[in-house]
Amino acid sequence: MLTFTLRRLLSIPPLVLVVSLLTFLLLKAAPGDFYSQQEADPARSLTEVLRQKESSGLLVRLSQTQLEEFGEFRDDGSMWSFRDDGEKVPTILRDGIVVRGRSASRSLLNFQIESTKYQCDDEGVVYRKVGPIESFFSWFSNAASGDFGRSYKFNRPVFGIIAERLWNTLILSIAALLIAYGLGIPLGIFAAVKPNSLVDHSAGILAFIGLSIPTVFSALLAVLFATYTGWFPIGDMRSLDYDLFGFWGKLGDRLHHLFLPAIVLGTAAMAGYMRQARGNMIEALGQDYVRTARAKGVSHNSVLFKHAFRNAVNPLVTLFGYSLASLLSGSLLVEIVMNWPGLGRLVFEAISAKDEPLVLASVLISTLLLVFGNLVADLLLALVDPRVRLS
Amino acid sequence: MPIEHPKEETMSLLLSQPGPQSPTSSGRGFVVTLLLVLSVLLLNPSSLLQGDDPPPRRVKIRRSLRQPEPEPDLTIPIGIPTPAFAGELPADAIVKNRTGTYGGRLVYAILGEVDTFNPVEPKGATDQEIRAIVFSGLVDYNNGNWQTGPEVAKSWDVSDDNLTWTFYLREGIRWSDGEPVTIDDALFSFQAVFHDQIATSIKDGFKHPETGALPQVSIDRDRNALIFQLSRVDSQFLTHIGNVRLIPYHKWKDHLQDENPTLLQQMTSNAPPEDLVGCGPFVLKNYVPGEKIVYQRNPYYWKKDARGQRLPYLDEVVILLVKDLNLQWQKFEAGELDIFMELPADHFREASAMEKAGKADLVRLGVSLNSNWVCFNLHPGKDAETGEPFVDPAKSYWFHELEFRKAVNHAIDRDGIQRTAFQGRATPIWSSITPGNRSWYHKGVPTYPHSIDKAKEYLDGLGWKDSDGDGVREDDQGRPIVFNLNTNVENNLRQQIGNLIMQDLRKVGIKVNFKPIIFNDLVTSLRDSHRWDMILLGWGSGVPPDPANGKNITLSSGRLHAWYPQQPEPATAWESRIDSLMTMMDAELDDIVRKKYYDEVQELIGQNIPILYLIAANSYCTSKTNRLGNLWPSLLRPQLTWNLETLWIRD
Repeated sequence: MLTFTLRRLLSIPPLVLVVSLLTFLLLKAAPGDFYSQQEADPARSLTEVLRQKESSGLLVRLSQTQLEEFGEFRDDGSMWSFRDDGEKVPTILRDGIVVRGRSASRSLLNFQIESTKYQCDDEGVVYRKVGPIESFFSWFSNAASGDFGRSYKFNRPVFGIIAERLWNTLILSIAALLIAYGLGIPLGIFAAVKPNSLVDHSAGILAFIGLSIPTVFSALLAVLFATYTGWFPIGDMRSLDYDLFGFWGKLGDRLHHLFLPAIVLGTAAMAGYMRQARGNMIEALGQDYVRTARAKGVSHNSVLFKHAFRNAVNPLVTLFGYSLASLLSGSLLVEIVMNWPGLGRLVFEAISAKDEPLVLASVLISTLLLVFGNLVADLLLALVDPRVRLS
Repeated sequence: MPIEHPKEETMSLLLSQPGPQSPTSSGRGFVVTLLLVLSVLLLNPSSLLQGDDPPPRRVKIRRSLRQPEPEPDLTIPIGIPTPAFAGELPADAIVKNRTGTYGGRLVYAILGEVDTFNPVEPKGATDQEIRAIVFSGLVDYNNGNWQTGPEVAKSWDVSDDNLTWTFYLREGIRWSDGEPVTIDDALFSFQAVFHDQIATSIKDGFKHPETGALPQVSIDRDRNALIFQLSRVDSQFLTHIGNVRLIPYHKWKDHLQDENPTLLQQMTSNAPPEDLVGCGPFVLKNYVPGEKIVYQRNPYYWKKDARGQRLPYLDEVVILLVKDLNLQWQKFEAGELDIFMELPADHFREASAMEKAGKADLVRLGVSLNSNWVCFNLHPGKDAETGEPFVDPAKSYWFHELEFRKAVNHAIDRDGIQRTAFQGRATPIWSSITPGNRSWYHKGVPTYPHSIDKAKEYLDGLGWKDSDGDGVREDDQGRPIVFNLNTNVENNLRQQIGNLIMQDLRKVGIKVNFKPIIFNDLVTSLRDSHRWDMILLGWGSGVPPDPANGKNITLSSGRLHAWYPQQPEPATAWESRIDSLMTMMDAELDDIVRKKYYDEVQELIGQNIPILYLIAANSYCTSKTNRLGNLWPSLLRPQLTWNLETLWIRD
């Protein structure tokens, strides 16, 4: 089992490399970048936007020596060159005549020499655009030494930002998981023991409702329910005056706020587990060994839990591994609709704003969770099922 | 003219983007104001010339009324401030002609998230609005009367050549940590913004448009004055000064190094609250990411009211960070929020029901300053790599035909858009300056009232007729008139407008393929690839709503000069005239003369219609009935909370 675990762990680094590379390239393939919105803002000058891109590492400023080495090149119908006259910015020549940065940048805002792209701003500063592969490897080498970069939006190291939200999401997901397993498995077993009974049918209907209503919709219904009854808070994770409460007050407040979102998330997941548990149980109860056990006089409960259930539980353990992976991302829509200050909301906004370092860091965490979730599931499986051997 | 807009709100953007919502913005509710309805007879100049057209149509223009300034009431109780004030009130404290009762907590919600608290580089609109709560500038813009007034500077003067500005600092003001505000602090704040290696958009306005040179700043200790030496006359200088918020020298002096300054890494969203030392009305008490920002009274604040009581009245201001607009509304309906700014169109009915039930005041602010427009691609250039023209030559030929653009303008039924897409809560516009902008609105802009006959007449006159009977006209070379219209897919309202335009143009024999695409795509094609035919977007408005803020749009060299950006030389005589008018506006300090210049700019754009302004939504806000004192709603963001220092809770 140790070698198995080690082998699994060793497969992590290449997996992470591939996943982050793919994420990175996908982010770069979509049009625009984090600063597109600012570029569309008439009140901002391009010069300052380019400076900000430089400080984010999307652009690299060229020295005057590098610019002189360009020699003459053609763009927009004219011949251009740069000359170092010892000033702060290079002298720009168009067809041999000196032009100001401001008028040059209208032509040279985007130019290309031998497939490398450059940008020239209003003040005559020239930047090289950093290509996706190059910027990925500079990110990756920094990441390998533990520096995962700063969020463009928050100008802070990414893991600090993620840590602020991680715990909130975990609370919600774990509560939902408890509801899903705590209700789903007993209900499934119960339905399996008495197939086609009233309980079975009601549970079946419940399951189909849970499976077919999207969580966004049930979250909206929950918000409406809270508004009209006034029994539950309208969204949020805790009250405004939370800090003034005592320990029990705080706990009660948290649970009060947790109830609706956890129910919404939990019932949706519960339906799947319930159907799975029911199916497995029915199958197990029809096996020969169950009949044998019954025949030799083993008590009903003992047949159910000692023999049938232990055989039916394997697929549920595997599912549990996957549910660990969805702990962080599964609650995204509910977080948005019910204003839960979790990671899902943060990452969703980061993706739409193209805040690359933040997206990469969160993808990394999700990947690791998936790998560990599977590992845990496999180890648990070996624990509960003696037929499974890991080696 | 246009400018920026809410981000997150959308985000600041300027091409007023996806806005989670739709139209509308604020209104004022308490004292229910009458809507001033001006019926303006707008004549179509071309119809006058021709003399044989149908009678001119009446177009109703609803203008916003100036919201009345709150009056002091000396009879209300004073109350007890907690936390209490500290330090002495300076001798030349600003006196606000208001009264109110201390105490209470104002709660409202915003859509955005705090990117940073650092006032040197506020990233989104959210940051700009929240920094004003903690940080003050030398001067301050009053959203209520649309004027810039003194703040930390008690007065200023300008030299005869308009190049030297001297700002005299108020004495005796203290930072929120109790240290005195000195001339060194003011100098330091400007040095930070002007620092070569600090990238901040606040710097932009100060730059010389050609050379990029920044003003020289110096101090005169004897007169306690900050002196700016400009290299050009700048009519917007006061606005730029107001954009710079003061930060304390004693706290940050070590972070403004010559090389790689670390100032922008300070005061980020995880900074301890006591790091945010400012001289605004409130200080940060607590910030919980994704949940709330809590401010409490700055005990050293330095303004007083009509009774000599120190401001602010509110003990606390709580801003909830609610990402979902529907949830925000539910919270307002349930009474968890005191105010709701920029009411989205889909909640208008509920808001007016609440008004009838006496639960909320609906504030009607009139026509918002944000415009919606369509624009043709007039770019004559070619793709450098492939040598192909950006715009198909046939399309380019149609678009460059003024009569064609006039025909399209007549074909678009703005009243239909108003009724259908906006349920009547909007106003047709003919210029980027909407009737809501009382300072810059110009009645003399040419209009092109909806008339299918006129549109057909123009097209027939060009000889572009439907010769094969398929319902689509062909131009004089037999090419069917078919082109694409794009807008950003995130905005539902704009998609409705696009569909209506498509139907309208179909009626005159022009076939439009309407394709909403994602915002980033749209901006990229507008700016870099230039591969588009017709685009539907909007401009947001900044504060103050001065056309000079829209130079990036108006100037032919501007990067958002939508129909043909970054022209090496002005492409037409009228664009060249607009360029020089804009330059003259910059160098003129008299607003009456500046308005004359800009009226001409609006007329030139109206005559040549490279861009067709369509419609502006009406603007509404709501607040709990009789909950807040001294509310002074404004069309300008943030509509209800710009004067937090004098708001008070009535309960």
